[in-house]
Parts: sequence; C-alpha cells; structure tokens
Amino acid sequence: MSRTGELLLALVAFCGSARAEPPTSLEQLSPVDRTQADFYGAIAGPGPGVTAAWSLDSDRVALGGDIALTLTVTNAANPGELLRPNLAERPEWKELFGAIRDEPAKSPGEFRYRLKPRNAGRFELLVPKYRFYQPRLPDGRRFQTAFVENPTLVVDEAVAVSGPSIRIPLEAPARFFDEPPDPPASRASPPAGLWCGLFACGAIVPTAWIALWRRNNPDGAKLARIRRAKSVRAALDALGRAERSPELVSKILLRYLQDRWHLPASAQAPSEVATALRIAEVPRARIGELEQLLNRCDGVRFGNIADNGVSLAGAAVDLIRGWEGANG
Amino acid sequence: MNALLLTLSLAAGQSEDSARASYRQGIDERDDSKAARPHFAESAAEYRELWERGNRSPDLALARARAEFLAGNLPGAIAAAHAGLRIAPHHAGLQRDLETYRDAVVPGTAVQADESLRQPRLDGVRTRVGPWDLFAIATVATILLGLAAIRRFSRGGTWTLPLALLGTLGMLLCGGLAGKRALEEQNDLAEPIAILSEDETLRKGNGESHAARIEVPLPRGTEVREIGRRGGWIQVRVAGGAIGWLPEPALLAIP
Repeated sequence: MSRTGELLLALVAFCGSARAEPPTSLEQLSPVDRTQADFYGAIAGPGPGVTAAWSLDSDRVALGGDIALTLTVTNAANPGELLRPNLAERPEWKELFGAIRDEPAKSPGEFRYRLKPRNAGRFELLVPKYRFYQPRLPDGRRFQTAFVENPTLVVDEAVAVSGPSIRIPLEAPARFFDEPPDPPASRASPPAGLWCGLFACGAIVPTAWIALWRRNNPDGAKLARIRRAKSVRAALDALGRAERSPELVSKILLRYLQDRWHLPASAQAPSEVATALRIAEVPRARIGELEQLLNRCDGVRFGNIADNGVSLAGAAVDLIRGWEGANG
Repeated sequence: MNALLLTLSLAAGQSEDSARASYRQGIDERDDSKAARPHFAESAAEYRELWERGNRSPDLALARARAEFLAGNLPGAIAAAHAGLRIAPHHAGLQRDLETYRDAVVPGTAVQADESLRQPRLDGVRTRVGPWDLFAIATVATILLGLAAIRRFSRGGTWTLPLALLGTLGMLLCGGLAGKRALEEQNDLAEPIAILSEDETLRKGNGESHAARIEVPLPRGTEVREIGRRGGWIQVRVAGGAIGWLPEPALLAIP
C-alpha cells in the first residue's frame, strides 16, 4: 500500500474514534453551542436524554412564609458543570415573589431556591425551558428541550395555628431589649447661641479684665509696656531673684546697660560707665543717679557702707523704670 | 398660634409614649418572635410618624431603627439608622447599631467575592468628631487666647507666646475640622444613600432588557449611593466602586 493510502486509513480511523466518544464536558462544545438560549450546560449521557424536574417542598404556604423549590437534573454527563437558572431576574417570578434566594444544593445536578410569595392565591409557576445537548443526534438537532411540568402553589391568606405552636425567641443584641432611649436626651449639636456666647466671652472677658487691671494699676500699664523689651524684662526678673547680693545687682545693671544703651563691655567701674554714657549723650542727671547707685553697690560689697541688697535691688528697679519712662 | 404649638407638642408626646409602650410590649413578648414582631412594627410606625412630623433627634432614630430591626424590617432599620446619622454622624450608639444591621445583610457568595460590590464602612471626620467636640476644642482655644491676651497686656510674661500659639493652633484645628465636616456633608448630599428594600439584580442599563452587572441579585439591605435617575430607574454606585442601575421601587430613600 502506498504512503498516501496509509495516511487516509489513519484519518478515517481517527474520525471513527472521535465519533465513538461523544463530548462529556462543556469545554468540548463550541462557543456558539455554549451560549444557546435556555441552555444551562447539560450534556446528555448514555440513555434517552436529560430530564429536569421542578418540585416544591409543599404545595401550600401561608402568606408571609417561604417555601423551597428544587430543580433536579438527571442523566447529565456533566452534573458538576450545570448552571443555575436565574429565577430572580425573570419578571413573572419577581411579580409573584418578594424574595427569591439561592440555597445550597444537596448534590450535583440539584438547585434549590427559597421563595417568599407576595400575595395569597393559587399560582401556576411558569418554570423556564430546559434545553440540553444530545451529542448522539445529527448536527442541527442536537439541542433538545426537556419536558418540564409547572408546579402549582397555593398561598393561604393567614394561617390559623391550632394546637401547640413553637415559640421562637427574637434574636438581637441584648441592648436592643433595653428600654428605648428617651428622644430628647441628647442634643445633636450646640445651638448657634452657644457659639456666639463663646466668641463674645472670648473677646469681652479679656478686654474687661485688662481694662479693670489697668484702672487699678495705672503704673502697671507702663510697666507692662517696658517689660515687652526682652532686656528690660530679663533685668527686672533677675533683680527680683537677686538674692539680695550687691555684686549681682551691679552685674544685672551693667548687663541691662550693655543691652539697652550700648554700654561697651570694657566699662566695668562706675567712673568708666559714667564716661561711656556721657559719650553716648545720656542726660547727666541720669548718669549721676546711676553712678551713685553703682558706688553704693561697691560700698556695700566692700563693707564701707551699711546698706543691704534689698534696698539696692529696689533702687535698681526704680532706676530702670525711670530710664524706660515708666515712672511718669 | 401658641395653642396650636401646644397641641402639636402634646400630640407628639402622646405618640412618643405610645411608641415606647409598643416597644415595651414587644420586649415583654421577646420569647415569641411571632407575638413580639407586631408590637415592634407598631412602635416603628409610630416612631416613623414622629420623625416625619419633624421630631428629629439621634435617639429617636436609634429607637426607630431598633424597632424596625426587631419587627423584621432590616432595610427600614438601616434607613432609619442612616437618617439619624445624617443629623448626628458621630453618634456612637447609631454607629454601633448600623454595624449590627450591616452584619445581618446576607450577600450571596458571588456578591461577597466581588470586591466592587463591597459594602461601605463608617469613615470620615464626621463619624469621629462631633459638633460638641469642636465646641470643646474652640472653648479651650478661646480660654488659652484670652489668658495670653490678659497676660500680654497686663503684667507681661515669658509664657504668653506659647499660650497664644497653642490657642491659635486650637482655633486652626477647630476651623479645619469644621471645614472637612462641611465638605463631607456636601458630598453626602450630592450622592444620597439609598437602601435596597428587596433582593434585586444590579443591571448595566435602565431596563430589564439590560444585562446584569452580576448574575446574583444584591441582597435586601444593601447600601448604595444614588448618582442619577432615568425612566423609573436609579443609577447607583456601590461602596466598592461598582456602578449599575436598579428599579426605583426597589430602593428606600433615607427619610
């Protein structure tokens, strides 16, 4: 036999084997076949074909209650691949049922739904068509429709419970069973008046306080003004803590003069300080007063004058305030 | 006029007492949900009426939401909690209850798996800082600034500047937080919250003929934000980012 003949025989044998093994999985179908209308993925196994049955747990339900509906698909070669028909998006089902929930299935090929009827009455449930793929039929006839029966449901107006009924307690966090809160108990936000009051107080209280303080301390205002200069504030604070030491009083004074009146650091003795200040054109009366105070400090320091640090510190404070113009 | 106001307030008081009485009856019957639920439903209806008449307070919303929940109306409870949070977003009781209601919403596994359908969480400045907190910050800042001013213009002192700085910072913080709260409120008004009152499929267009955004319906109690309306359908945004359309009757607006 020629080589071409051998190839032809092999091709025929392959086609024969392919025909002998019908598809058992959705993946083996073409995309066009997979998207057929009302086809939920069922491929018929060996036998007459796929069957689909819709059944209700009970044919009666009370209004307000719910009921389970089950679709059972048998004789499918691929039960694990079957798709769930979506009842919740069918208008006729949405009209009948207020809630359509999916429930877990007990086995492959079974689909459960929990339905809650909207109204009382007798209803025939129009279940969707169920088409399946029959690979044993010739092309063009492979999609068959399984016969399905529409279940009938009776929804009763109200259920008159007779005999002992089961009492199911309400389930909720414990706080839900406390007394309901008293509505006016809390205010959601502060009233506008409170905000206005706060800002008004914020402006009025400090202003009034300052005005009152200045009225009672006429010199205080001037003192406050001169204290705003850092060197003056430092000198006055230091004199307050000077521990009554004449040497410290004289040092604080010199430091103040250096910072505020540009006294050269080399001027340390009272006479040197006086000379430097004269050059800086400070009024003579002030220089005399300062020189006298510095001499007193030296005198107390070396025991020549019987004075104490308290009066020296007080005199230094008065001098600074005088120089800064706070004494009138 | 005064007589009319008095009559209205008396009527509101009676209705409130009645709502509380129904709630109490429901609590008494709590061991039998079938008997208890109608009392809670009655209480919820009375609280709803009070709310619609303008007696709005976070505590009334809290009581109403609890009554709705215990009556079995989960979407109503979520809507009532949101109504209360709209006027008092920082209310801890309402926030905690809303989390409880959200936990009771049971999405299908497909909805849970889709991150774009994720449900919202309470966040933002408004849920943490209330107007009373702002008032407290402003009060402290005002006191600090006042003390700094008094010190500065009387005796003077080294700690005037830090005091004034702290007060100014407090005022800035207060202003910033108030601004952020106002911005969040504006965003809320631009895209109001709506609650799904029954299971419904989120669609890609405004009609039954449009394909589903996801095959499994969204569960009742799902919170969405309204971004548009057309032909009896509402375009919504889910907190996870998914955008789709839902029929108007299936959505509960926040009263």
